[in-house]
Amino acid sequence: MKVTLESSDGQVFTVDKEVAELSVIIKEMLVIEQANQDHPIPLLNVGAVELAKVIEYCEHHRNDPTIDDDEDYDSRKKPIEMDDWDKQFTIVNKEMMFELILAANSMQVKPLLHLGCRYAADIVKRMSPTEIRDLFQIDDDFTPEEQDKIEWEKQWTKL
Amino acid sequence: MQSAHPLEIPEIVSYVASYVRKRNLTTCALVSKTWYQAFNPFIWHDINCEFEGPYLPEALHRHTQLVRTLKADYSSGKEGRKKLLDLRFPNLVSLDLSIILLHEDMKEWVLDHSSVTHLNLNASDLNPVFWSTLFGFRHLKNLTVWRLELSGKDVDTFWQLCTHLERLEVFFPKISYPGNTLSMEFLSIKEFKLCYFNHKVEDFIPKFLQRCPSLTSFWVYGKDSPEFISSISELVAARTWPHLHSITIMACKIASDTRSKIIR
Repeated sequence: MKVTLESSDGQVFTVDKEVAELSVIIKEMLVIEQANQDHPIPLLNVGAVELAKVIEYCEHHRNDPTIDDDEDYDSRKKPIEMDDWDKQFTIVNKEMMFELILAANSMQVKPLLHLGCRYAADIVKRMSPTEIRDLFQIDDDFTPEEQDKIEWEKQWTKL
Repeated sequence: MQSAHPLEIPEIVSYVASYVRKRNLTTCALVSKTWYQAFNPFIWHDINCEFEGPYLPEALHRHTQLVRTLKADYSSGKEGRKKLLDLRFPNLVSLDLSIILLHEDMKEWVLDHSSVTHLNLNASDLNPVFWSTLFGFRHLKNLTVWRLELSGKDVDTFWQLCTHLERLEVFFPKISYPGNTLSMEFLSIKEFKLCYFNHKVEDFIPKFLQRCPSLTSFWVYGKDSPEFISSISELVAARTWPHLHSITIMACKIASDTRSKIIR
């Protein structure tokens, strides 16, 4: 069975239902709108370029087991296996990857979200807090006292 | 309006944090308040208390609710021990205690953490009273005990505890097990690990293992106990454990016919 999806900029994509269902949001929508599939499912936060990439990812991973990660003690720490295809897939520029993280988050494509976050973790691992803030344009919202407190705690975690 | 950068969305930062290595976590926590909130659970997730300095418990007391795995080594001083006993970890999942001297005052603290599913008790000086605290751990799935010494009705209570376990490790156990009265089944036990030196202590073990039909992995480190190994080999040959896929026997002398029985 086929499903049609529409990106925020109006482009329509037709995919197999089980591919689209890697997105938790679409899966839920399909349950609700079972009787009414004449018009495409609108994805208001996802542009055509990103949606094409997300679909490419879902096509490749259509037979993967689903992951259930929420608040589980062990599984959150468990890294997801990355195959060669995934490695190739992540060879994109940072901006594209961040757009994909946003798309995966808004569509709730969990494995892609994990893949993107793992990519982001690789980027930040050798950076200082200032470098991280500059890269992602994040404001430093700590007061000097809060900063000192965290620095003080930091020495006791032995990390 | 431009949408927020993904790395300012708390859930996303939290996923990123799950992929950052331990030693980089604290640097990331200094980025912003959102990042601090997302990284802090990973920073305090596993805590190893060795008490080299007097301040760790003071930093720890603000984050006790985040600690899931606690390893405490009491060999390094009275002061640290006292400070730890003032703290409670409401969401603890795994507790690992190395204790040189077991004090009576610890009993209450240990029992306050009896909701953990993983427990490792490594004590060299035992207070028999302490073993009974073990029976208060009703959610236990994974138990490691060193120098477990049980007798009388405590043995039955211990078997009761074992009915919930998925994994049991016993090092140098001394269980005075009165004969043939073991009637329980340990359906959830999948892994069993045993280490002993005295060949007299393990009489109960084949009887116990016989009642663990779900066993998948069996590990033993022992010395000079051909009877024990041969009784295990008979159990293996009789397909007592249809799911068994791993068997490790170390430091034992194994007779060649026993060996071939196990291999088969």
